[in-house]
Amino acid sequence: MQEVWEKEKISDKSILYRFVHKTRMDRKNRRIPSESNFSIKKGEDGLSVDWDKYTTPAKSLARISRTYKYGKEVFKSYTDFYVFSLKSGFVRMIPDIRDVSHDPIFNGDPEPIGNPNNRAHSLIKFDYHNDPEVRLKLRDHAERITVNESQVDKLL
Amino acid sequence: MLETIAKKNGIQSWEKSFPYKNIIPQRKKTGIEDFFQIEGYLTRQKIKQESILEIIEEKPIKEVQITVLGTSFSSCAPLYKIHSEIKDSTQILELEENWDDEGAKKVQESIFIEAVKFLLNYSNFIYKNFDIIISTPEINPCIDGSIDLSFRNQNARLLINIQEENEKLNAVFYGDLYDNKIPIKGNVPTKGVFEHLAHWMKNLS
Repeated sequence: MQEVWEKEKISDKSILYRFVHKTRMDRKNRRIPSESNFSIKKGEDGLSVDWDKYTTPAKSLARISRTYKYGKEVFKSYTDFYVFSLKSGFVRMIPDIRDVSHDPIFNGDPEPIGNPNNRAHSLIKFDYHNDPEVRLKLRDHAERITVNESQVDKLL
Repeated sequence: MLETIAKKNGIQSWEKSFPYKNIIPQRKKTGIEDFFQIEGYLTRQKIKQESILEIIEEKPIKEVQITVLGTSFSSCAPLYKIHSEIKDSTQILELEENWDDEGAKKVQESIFIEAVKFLLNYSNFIYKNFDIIISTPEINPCIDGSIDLSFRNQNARLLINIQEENEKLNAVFYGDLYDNKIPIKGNVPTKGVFEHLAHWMKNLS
């Protein structure tokens, strides 16, 4: 697959957006997000985030609604997701975080249905896939962002 | 001297049940409660400071049976908030494969039960030995099918991840008193209680 976007250096002043799926576990008095929202599976390259240089929370949510659910031809709903922001400079200071790197996703032009391109896509990389220190500190640093649904709907 | 105290308080089988010659009293600041270390085990006794040490009461600990998915556990009744969280968290097992729409794995019953057992082992150990009820953790599923125990109070935070690695169940943890103070990081097998972790967890009172 041709890569049309160069990988760029993410500055420490950049903001990263993390999208967290709502579940039935988010019941009353539960802490949102939880550290489990920053876990990755074994073998994955890193924790997916979007870089603010190429997106806004509303744009990213709109892209989520153009994306198929994993293994299905059913679109996700942006209303199923919370948005959190992280400062890349802080993230880089967490021990055991190897890198915060730009990792743009280009699936084609025109982009295939259900698999949109994402120039903002970036990865927070850490060596041990379930490192509790990394996840605990990311969780405590993350700030919730409220997005006006009408802004997202206009983009769909 | 202790023998006299025991008889005075109606403790008949004192020597048989309580090898007092090996007792090492360690006084706390309040002077109201104390711990006695007996051949490597800790037993809590309430004592009163007068002219001599006087044992006035052995605190009874009421235990309850908790049944989770057909497995029974014995636990101290004052830990009822932890029992309640365990009960609530059984809904984790209702989450199907791909519960986050992004390929999350289903949590296996064996891992969930191990996490419950681990939590009960440590919370009961700390309560029985140090008279401390630790804060109730949130029990959360991770996308790789492992379980998080997330503890927080005003003084400390601790994350323990119960996972299967190479067919062995492990607890991987990190905790500190915020701002990286007195950090603890490492991993232990899920079986048994490891005292260095249990001692650190007293910060969660």
